[in-house]
Order: sequence, then C-alpha cells, then structure tokens
Amino acid sequence: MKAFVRYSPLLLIALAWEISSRLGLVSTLTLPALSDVVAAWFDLAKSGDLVANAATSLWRGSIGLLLSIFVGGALGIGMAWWRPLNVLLGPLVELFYPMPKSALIPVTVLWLGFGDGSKILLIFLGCMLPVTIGAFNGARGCDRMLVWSVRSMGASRVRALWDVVLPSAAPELLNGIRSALALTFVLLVSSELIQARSGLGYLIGFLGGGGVYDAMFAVVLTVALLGFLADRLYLVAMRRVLIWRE
Amino acid sequence: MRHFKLRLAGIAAALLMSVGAHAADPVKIRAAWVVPVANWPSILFAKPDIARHLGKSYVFEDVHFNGTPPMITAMANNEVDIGNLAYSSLAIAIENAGMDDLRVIADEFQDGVPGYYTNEYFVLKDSPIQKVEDLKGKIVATNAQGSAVDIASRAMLKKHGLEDKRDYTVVEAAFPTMKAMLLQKKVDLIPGVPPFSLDPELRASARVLFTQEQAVGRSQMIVWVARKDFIAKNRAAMVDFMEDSLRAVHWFLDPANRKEVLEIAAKVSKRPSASFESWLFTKNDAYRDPNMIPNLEALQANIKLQKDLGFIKTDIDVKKYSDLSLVEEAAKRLK
Amino acid sequence: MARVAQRAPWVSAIGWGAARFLPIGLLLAAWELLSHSGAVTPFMLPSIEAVVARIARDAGTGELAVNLGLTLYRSLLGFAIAAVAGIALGLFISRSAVVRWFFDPVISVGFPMPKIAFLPIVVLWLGFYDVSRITMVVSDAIFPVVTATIAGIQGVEREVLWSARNLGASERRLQWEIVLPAALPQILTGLQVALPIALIVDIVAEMIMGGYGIGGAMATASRFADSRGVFAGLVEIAIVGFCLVKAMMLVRRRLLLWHPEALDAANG
Repeated sequence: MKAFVRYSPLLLIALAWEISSRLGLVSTLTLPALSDVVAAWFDLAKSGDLVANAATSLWRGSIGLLLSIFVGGALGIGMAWWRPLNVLLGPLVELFYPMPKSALIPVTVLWLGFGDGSKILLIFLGCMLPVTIGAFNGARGCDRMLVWSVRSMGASRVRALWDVVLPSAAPELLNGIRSALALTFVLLVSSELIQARSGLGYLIGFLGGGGVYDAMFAVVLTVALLGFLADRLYLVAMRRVLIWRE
Repeated sequence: MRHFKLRLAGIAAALLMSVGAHAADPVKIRAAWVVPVANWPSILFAKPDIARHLGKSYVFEDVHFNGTPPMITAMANNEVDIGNLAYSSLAIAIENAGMDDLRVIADEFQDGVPGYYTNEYFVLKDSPIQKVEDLKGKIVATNAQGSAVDIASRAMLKKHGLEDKRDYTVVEAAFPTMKAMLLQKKVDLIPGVPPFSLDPELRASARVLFTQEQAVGRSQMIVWVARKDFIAKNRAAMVDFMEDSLRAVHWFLDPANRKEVLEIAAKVSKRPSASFESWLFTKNDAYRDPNMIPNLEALQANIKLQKDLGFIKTDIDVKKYSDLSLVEEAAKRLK
Repeated sequence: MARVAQRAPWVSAIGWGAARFLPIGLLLAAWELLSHSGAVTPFMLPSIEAVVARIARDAGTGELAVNLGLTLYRSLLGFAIAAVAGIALGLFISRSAVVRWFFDPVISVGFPMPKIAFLPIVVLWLGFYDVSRITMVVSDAIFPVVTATIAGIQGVEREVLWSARNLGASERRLQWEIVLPAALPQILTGLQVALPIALIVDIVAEMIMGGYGIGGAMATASRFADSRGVFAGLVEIAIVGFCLVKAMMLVRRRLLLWHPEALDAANG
C-alpha cells in the first residue's frame, strides 16, 4: 500500500497517456495508446526477444558503468589531490566531455571495430562525465584544515585520502554515480542504435525504422523501467552508505 | 532467437565437418541491412535448411545499421563484408570515401519495372496542389537529402522548373513519420515507400502527385556490394553463399510458400503478417530480380542523374565497379 | 603539493603551462602519425591539415559562424532553461511533500529514459524548428540539475538549520541565506554535468533533424562520406565544448570564493 501511494504518480501519468490517445488529443500515428504498447510488450516478452536483448544490453551497460565508476572516481579524486594528474589529464578529459558519444564512432571503429568493445567504450566515456566531475568537486571541497591536522598528526597521504578526503567527497561522488547510472541506460540505447546485432537499442532502432511504434515504445519503456529499478536500488544502497558514514 | 538458431545450426554443421577430413575454417560473411524484411539479409536464412553451405564453407552474420553512412564506415574498416547500398550511396562511397575497390555483386530491388511497384509522392487529397508546378513555395519532405528517393523528387521538380531553396523548402523526416507529417499539414509533399505508402489511412486521405517511375524511369535502387579483395580471397565461399542466397530468394518469391513467407516476415519484423499480405514479394512490391542480377544500364543512368543534380562530381562507369561473376556462377549451379 | 611550491615560482609556472598542452599535443601527434601511416585511408581518418583546411574554408564562407551560432544558441538557451527550472524544481521537491511525492518516481523513470525516441513526436507537436531541439535539450539537461539540487539540500547539516532557526531566521531567509549557499557546490556540480549534456543532445537532435547547426553539418557530411566534414565537426565541438566547460569552472570558482575548494584554486 505504501509503495502504491509512493509510485502512484507513475500510474497517473500512464492514465493520462492512455486517455489522451484514446480521446485523440495525441495523434496515435506517432504515439500509440499505452494499452497497445503494453500488449506489444507481452508479445515481445513471450517471443524471448526482450529477455535476450536486455541481457546483452545490461551486460554492456554494467561493464561500461563499472569502468566509469572506478576509472572516473579515481581520476576525479586524483586530479583534485595531485596536481600533475590534473594538469596532464584535465584538458584531455574536458575535451571529451561535450562530444556526442555516437559521433565518435568513426574514431572508435579504427581502434575497437564495431563489436562490444566500442559500445562499452562509448558507455564508459559518457558515464565518466558525472562521476569524474562529482569526485573532483567533492574532493576539492573537503576541508583543508582537517587534512593538514591529520597529516601533522603523522597520518600518511594515503591514510588522509582514505579517512578524510574520500568521506567528504562521498555525497557529490555518490550523486555523480546516480547520474551515471541513469545515463548508462540512455547511452546503451544510443550506442546500439547505430549498428548492432543485438541489444535493446538494436530493437528500438529497427522497430522505429520499420514504424512499429507500439513495440518500439514497449522497448523504450523497458529501458526506462530497468533504469527506474536500478535507480531505486541505488538510492536504498546510497542511503545505507551515507548513514554508515555518520 | 533467429540468430541463436542459426548459430546452433552453424555449430552443429561445424561439428559434423570436423569429423570429416577437410575441416577448413568456414569464412565469416557479414551482411548489412537497414529495413527488416525489405532488405534480403535480414530474412535470407530465416527459413531453416535453405542454406546448404551454411556452416560448411561459410558462416553468416546479418548486422543492422541505422542508415547508410555508418555502413560505409563499417565497410571501409572491414567490419562488414556485404553492404546493402542505394545507388546514391554507392556513388558517394566510390567518389568521396575513395573506395574504388567496391564491386556491385547482386540486385536487391529495382523501382519502376513495368508491372511492379514504383515509389509514390503524395499530397493531401483536398490540397490545392494539382500539378508539380503548384509546389512552388511549399514544403517538401524527404527522408535524407541526396538519397535515391530524394533524387527522384528533385529531378521531377527540376523538370518542372522548381529548384530547392529558391522555389521550395526541403525538410527531413523518417519514412514511418511521413504520414503523420502530411496528415497534420506540417508538410505539403511526402515520398512514400512500401509498406508505409500502402497504409490504408494514407491512401484514403492522400493522392499521388507523381511516381518515381514518372520522374526518373527505371531505378536500380539497392545493390549488394563487396570489396574486391574480399571477393578474391573468399571466392569459393562467396559463390556458395550466393548459391544459397539464390535458393532462398527463389523460395521467398515462390507463391507456393506464401503462408510460411508471411509468417517469417511477421516474426522478423514484429509486425502482424496481415500487414505484408497485400504486397510483399508480389507485383505490388518493388521488383526483385529472381536471379539477383542488377540492371546495370539503369544503375548507370541513376548515377548520371545524381551527377547532373550536383550530388557527385565525377563520372562513374558502373561496369568497372561491378562483378556479377559470383551470382552468375552460382546461378549455373542451380540449373 | 608542498614540494612543488618550494621551487622558484616562475619555473614551475612555465613548466605547468607547457605540461597542460602535452597530452593534447600527444593526441594530435598520434592522429597525424596514424593518418599518414598508410594503415588507414583518408576516409577512415583524414589528416589534421585537411581537417584544419576544411574548418578554415567553412570559416571563410561564413558557414561556420552560422552553424556555430545556431548550435550555441540552442544548447545554451536549453541549458539556461534546464538550469533555472531544475534548481526551482529541486527546491520545491525538497520543501514540499506533495511535489516530492509526484516528482520522485517521475525523475527515477525519466532520467534513464532514452528520450531521443520521442523526437518524432516532439517534431510533430512543435515543428521542425528550434523549439523542438531546445525542448529535447531541456528534457535531458534538467535531470542532473534536479538530482544535484536535491542531494545538495539534503546535505545541508541539520544543526546549522536548527541554530539558524533558533536565532530567529525566517523560512524565506533560511532558504536564500543558508540552504541555497550551502547546497551551491553540489548544484554547480549538477550544472557542470548538465552543460555538456545540453551540447550533446542539441547536436544529436540536429544530426537527426538535419538543417543548420554543427550537428546538421556533420550529418550531411557523413551522408556524403565526407570524412573531413565529420572530423571538422568533431574538432569544432571539442573546442567549443572545452571553452564552455572551462567557463563553467570559472563561474564555479567565482561563486565559491568562500568555500574550502577555492583555497586550493587560489594557491595554483
């Protein structure tokens, strides 16, 4: 019951969607009624396409996301605390932030071809943006006096980093990871849209290209739903971490 | 799932082969497609057992592309072996991408062949546009500037004295959204290709202003292309593959298999089979050569028109960029 | 850091200044070497000089200015709308239980939604022109701003709020003088994430819809297998984006002069 009240806004939106398309407020030419989308979803699920393609996408997405959390997090904190790293890698990272990742395909194909590697790379690059910025800003925002006092008490650099910098960077870093988690789902679709043999983005691409909009939106909703579940799980985990910190 | 079954069949066949004495590795042939069902590679071997050499001399992978540009990139990087190119993209790949080793190896479909479908260009039924000249000052939709469908409408408008930018505005939209664009009066003219042009709702409220056949005559719309080196290196496997492809094409075009063909089309595209019934692989569909022989004269004329409209700069002799020996050799074996 | 500071200041200043260009120089060198190595064709990877010549030509004809101006206008306007609306929404969500009830699940679903799938619908509603593209930009760029604002406000320590209340601060003053400034670092982080996203979404929308703009020019170039045009677009985006990202950092520094992180900036 609690969960029902909590997530009822989604039901309201779903209802608004259904009613507006049934009443003809929105042209069903491009936005089919939700009930049709749901029916198409069951067909896709029954045929096994949805599960198989979702599994591939989630696999690519998780690897890309995990890489971005570890590399991006380390890079962000490192850049905030060790100037040579900031000077050497900062400009390079900043150069790649605003690039549409799908426009990089002519470049990545030279190096990784068109397989899973290039798709994971695009997800990784896209997810790095919020993680690195969050880690960098969080680590820089940490109280210097605290670090100096810990250091003067004889703590090593690593110790100070672990005990003082990391905890104070945590809120921004964790929110950055939340954004990265959401972006993973957006990016896995765009990385599979251009060219693929499998994955949810592949399904969206060819269903949209063929004008099978009810099935296409069924896949779009599946992506959103998976993202929603991941976000909820993450929020629960994040709350645990932050409570533990206090 | 389809891929999975194919792969299983491939593995099973490979196992059988390895028992035999000559267990040479099969050649991997990767073929690109954009539109499910309408492009042969998306459905070619969806009928099990049709490909006799599959898993023996070659293995097959079909790859979906969201349009031609990434497909050309993939071919340049040897990430795909058989491209599925409109004539317009073929000329562009040869001229601008410098891929002078591209060879046309087979037909996919042709437009404007007598007795078969030709693409139609629609206006609203109650629109004041009665003849092409009336498009002056109007908004013309196209799928992509410089595409084969776009070239036909440009050529038609030019024949009637209308030039892009000076006399009319061109906007781009995807084929599936064209109907909505026209019905909601966002644009005045849309191009129609199957299955979208056969939509009953569109046909009820729109009328055909002109057809591609009236605009440019016969078009060799889409061809299969492969790179010269790949053909030379894997000739035997490619002939085997073309043999299987021909067998598949014959099977799909045979009215006796109608019911099963429609079921396969529905399964691959996730559309109801009824949506294919009235047109797919019939006279209401574009012409698909049963022997997969492209019409090189039409291709030459199309590419010349493309040059006349300013989309490419040099003359391209299509004979130089064709190699029909594979498909001809494969056809001999089927006799 | 302490060791660095002990060197003569001008030596280290020159050293660091040069070091900044090192990685970009290496990247360019690798590009140039690979493009001339014969392993790739000019279509796969055009040389730097060819790309630069292309950019210069487009700058000469005025095409570059038009495309750049349009792309900047769309993405920055979209970003500005997303920033204002996102911060406001984040504030409301933090303050009002009803607003939170409605938007909390909506954000969870909306953020990971591949919104580009809705572009055809948006075009049908809003037309082929800028409104559609800017709407797409807002619909993507707003999410990181909202979540960062919420997280920032959540992080404001309760003790500070209690003591301020005890001192008699009104709710209004509390929001403006305590909560917002304390949440500002995180909000700015959200904006720093949203700005590149705004640019990316605008360019992707331009690529799909065609027409003017850097994305539109790149889409046309790629359709005509014109690699120079595609790479020229990539270089233009990199430079423009780099400047925007840097400008955003400067804004951050100015707004956070009072914050511990500014201490470090002041030192170097």
